[in-house]
Amino acid sequence: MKSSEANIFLFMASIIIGILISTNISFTKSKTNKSVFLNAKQYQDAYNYKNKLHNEISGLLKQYNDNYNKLKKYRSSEKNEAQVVAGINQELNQNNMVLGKVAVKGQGISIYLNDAPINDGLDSFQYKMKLVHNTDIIQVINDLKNAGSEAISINGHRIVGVSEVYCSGPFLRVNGVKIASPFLINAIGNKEVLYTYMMSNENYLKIMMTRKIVVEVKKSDNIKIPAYKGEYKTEFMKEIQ
Amino acid sequence: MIGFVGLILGIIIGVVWNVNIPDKFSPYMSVAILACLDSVFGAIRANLSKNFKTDIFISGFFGNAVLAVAFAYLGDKLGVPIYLAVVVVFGGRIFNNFAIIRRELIEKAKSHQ
Repeated sequence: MKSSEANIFLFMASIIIGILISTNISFTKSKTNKSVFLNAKQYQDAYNYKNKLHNEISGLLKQYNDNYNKLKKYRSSEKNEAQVVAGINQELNQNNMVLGKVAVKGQGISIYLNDAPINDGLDSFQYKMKLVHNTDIIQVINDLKNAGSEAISINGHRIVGVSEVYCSGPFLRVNGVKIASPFLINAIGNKEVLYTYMMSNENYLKIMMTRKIVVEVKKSDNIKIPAYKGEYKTEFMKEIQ
Repeated sequence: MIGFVGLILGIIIGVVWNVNIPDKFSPYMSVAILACLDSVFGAIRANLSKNFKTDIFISGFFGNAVLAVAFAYLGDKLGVPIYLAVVVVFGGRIFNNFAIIRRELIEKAKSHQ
């Protein structure tokens, strides 16, 4: 009697355990991709990535809210047109600044680049390495953009979206104007960030320094960058409605 | 024997039923399974040595499972892997019980000869 009672309970208990085990196993089988084991570094990376995405989301949300508020203001305030016009003007100014249609100033860095001193007895490869090429300038500009600079100029020529840096014999062509070395690249942005980034060991400027090219980077609180003097052509492009 | 039959039956039921436990509870479930397994082994042992008590078995079966899960949860919250304690204790007890069961069964078999 006692034994059969025990058997019944044992039977029930083992059924429960069986159910528990199978639910757990089927769970892990059906979603093998769901749980991945990461080591500490991978976890750290994933965590950072998650944080980055979160930041991005909050930034986008903020932008959305701003835009939404602006739209609401435009819709609601038909009476105070002056306010709307002022808002539009402000936005227009900002766009002009970003497009390079007005001269701007602010904190930033200036980079001075000059060909390395050339002495005799160099073969053509060595000779080429001593010159500042268009590719070097493009790399430097790319790095500056990557470091978050807001406006860039070379020898007084504003770099905008349609600017070219083209090899033109002994000169470079920027915005259709030929310029010669030495090159002075100005960039507006957070000067500490720009300086640290440009002087970091992985940066292209270090490679240029090993080529003995004269590189001087200076922080400044008052970098002036002129307006883009060219034209924006809209001959072929049409807005997509 | 009856335990194995029940286990297989339970696994079949579970597979057919196909209940998914949420991601978070998965580690707790494994600890609970360990606790339940320990109780079942204890019950088999008690059954063999003829001192099985239903109330003790049932209270142990559920109580151990709940305590184990609570421990694992607490460990998670505190950042200390307390579930290791659960695993070690119950694992050790399962082996102990199994050793006793083995001995009893072998002695029984010998006495039958």
